[in-house]
Amino acid sequence: MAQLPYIKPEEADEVTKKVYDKAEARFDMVLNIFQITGNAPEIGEKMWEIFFEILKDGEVDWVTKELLILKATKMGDCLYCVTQHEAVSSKLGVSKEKQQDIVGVEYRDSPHYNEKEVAILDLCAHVVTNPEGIPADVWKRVKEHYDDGQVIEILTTIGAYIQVSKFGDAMGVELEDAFHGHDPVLFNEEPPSSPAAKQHLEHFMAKGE
Amino acid sequence: MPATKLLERDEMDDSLDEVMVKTIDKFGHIPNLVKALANNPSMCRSITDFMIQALGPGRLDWGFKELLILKTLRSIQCSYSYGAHAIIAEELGVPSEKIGDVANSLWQTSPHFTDGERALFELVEQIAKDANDVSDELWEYLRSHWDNGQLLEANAIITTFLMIGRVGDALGVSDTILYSKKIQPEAA
Repeated sequence: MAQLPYIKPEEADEVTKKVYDKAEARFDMVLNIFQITGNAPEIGEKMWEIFFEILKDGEVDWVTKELLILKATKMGDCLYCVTQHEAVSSKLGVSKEKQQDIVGVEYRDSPHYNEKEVAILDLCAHVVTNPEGIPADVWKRVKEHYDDGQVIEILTTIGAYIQVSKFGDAMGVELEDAFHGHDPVLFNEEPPSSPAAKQHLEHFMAKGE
Repeated sequence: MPATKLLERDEMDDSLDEVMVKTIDKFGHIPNLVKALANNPSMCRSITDFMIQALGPGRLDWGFKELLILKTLRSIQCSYSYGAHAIIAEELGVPSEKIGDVANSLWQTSPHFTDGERALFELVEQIAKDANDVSDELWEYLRSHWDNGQLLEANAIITTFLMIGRVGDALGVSDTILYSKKIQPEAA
């Protein structure tokens, strides 16, 4: 059970209804993570705009942003985000093999990743663990391939998914029934490091059986 | 030197006009983080608009929200805007003892905080440590002190500053002052 109620579309106020309509148009359903923000409509209204901007082609293409989302949320052991974005990445054409190689530093020597992608995945790992200690070499490689507008899109995508993953996990937001039976890609490759996240994964797998 | 150029108002895309008017109206100037974000108008607009909404009076007392921000930045060892938020808290009348006691573990025993406030600081530290492992007991306790809207707001503020702290530090930008105009504690 989530720790705060999901506000169903029929219970939502006008501001939240508009957010839900927009979310449904984009993702075919009003995900639980949206429904929990119905508890404070004025926050959901502004917060989700950031994600509506991220989840489309921008100055950086959507597929590349999905790689950053998978990397950042896998490092945070977020079962909810990783599962959702394995599904999105697959829809956008990212192969299972490519998804698998995002764990650890596998991507660095993977035939599925080019040097542009390796540079921003390295950046992502540092932003998650120690943003003040990003090595000069990582910045150099990132800036060889990306201009300032793209750098902002890369960093804010990583930051926003650290935000939303912790936001959902802290409140115990659950994966929707539609995802039960989903065969985890990243967590099969490398189990969660958090004991609590391991338990969530086992619980989720048991539901899908 | 920051990782990207900091754009001045006249270098920004016209699509940022509306949000920059709101930014200057709120803060008195354009913070350096916003000048960096302006390299990407879509991300700058959405994030700045959210921050304008999030910083200020809300369901929780503004001064207390500033303490949550300070605790969050400390919990992930991020320094972007720490001093600026301490100044905002001071200007909002938060006693310096409280500002001092959130900086380390003193909040746990500090007589300056209520049980509900301490429970939210515990939430901050737990989210920073492992967001997957916030106990049912802590949530039960939180719900006995705060309503659902306040808890949603608290969680949004905490996690948003996990983002802002990291993005600010990664970019290497500094904002020692966020409000160059007088803070209006009651103004929306």
